Amino acid sequence: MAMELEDLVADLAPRVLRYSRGRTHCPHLAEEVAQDALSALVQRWRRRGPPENPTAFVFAVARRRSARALLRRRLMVPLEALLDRPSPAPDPAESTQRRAAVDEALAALGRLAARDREVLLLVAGGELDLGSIGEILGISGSAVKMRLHRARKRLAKLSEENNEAS
Amino acid sequence: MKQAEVDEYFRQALEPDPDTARRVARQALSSPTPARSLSWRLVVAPAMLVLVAIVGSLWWRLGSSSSPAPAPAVPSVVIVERAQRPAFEITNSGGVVAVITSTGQVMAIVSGGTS
Repeated sequence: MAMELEDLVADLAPRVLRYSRGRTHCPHLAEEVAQDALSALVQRWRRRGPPENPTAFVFAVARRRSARALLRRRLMVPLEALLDRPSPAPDPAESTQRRAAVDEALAALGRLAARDREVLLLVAGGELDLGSIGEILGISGSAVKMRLHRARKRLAKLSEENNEAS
Repeated sequence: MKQAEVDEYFRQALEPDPDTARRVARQALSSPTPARSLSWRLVVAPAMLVLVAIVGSLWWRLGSSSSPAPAPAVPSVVIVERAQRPAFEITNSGGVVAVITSTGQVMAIVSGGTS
């Protein structure tokens, strides 16, 4: 069972990191959120056994923690500005080119409605199936499908417009 | 970008550094599983007990007050014996006036009487 948990955590780590990065737009916050969500799974697993859907469990925790982290950051930004503290430096491991690609993707995500963005992030970042997403968001599978279709269509259209403009 | 390419585009754009993913997984697995926290044992459990006691007490009081009140006690009158004539005599001994029936029963004692 320990190996099973280790394998699952190793598989989920990059997926939660992608999702959290898309939610928080910040590599540091994303790492914090992903670690919190995975730690919650590990503790739950060791204390009371595996949850019914471990993947949905982790992403539900990550979703709540991301929202909390964003709120905290919004509250702290005016304080940090007041205290003249610099905002966290970008991750030195990320190259400029890579950062530009991430920024472009995040900007594209920002053009979506929040509900559509959430579904797209869970599918593209988290690689979740529609049933699990429905479970996390508390909506039906068909509603998930509809939101996903709308998000993909909108992004494809935006991309076409950008290509034409350039 | 076609609709089918959207997911792959985001997956690649948001892909984390493999070292970061490994580090996050390792740290999550090494996170200690806390036993039931001390605050639970010291604060929450006693507080719950007190709360249960208060609620129980209130419940008990409400239950007892809502039951029908007992009927007021009717003073019971027992006629021991109808007195024969002379019905009673009054004695005055040291300022204490007593009314005694003909059968010798004390009907009343009037303390501090003057006549």
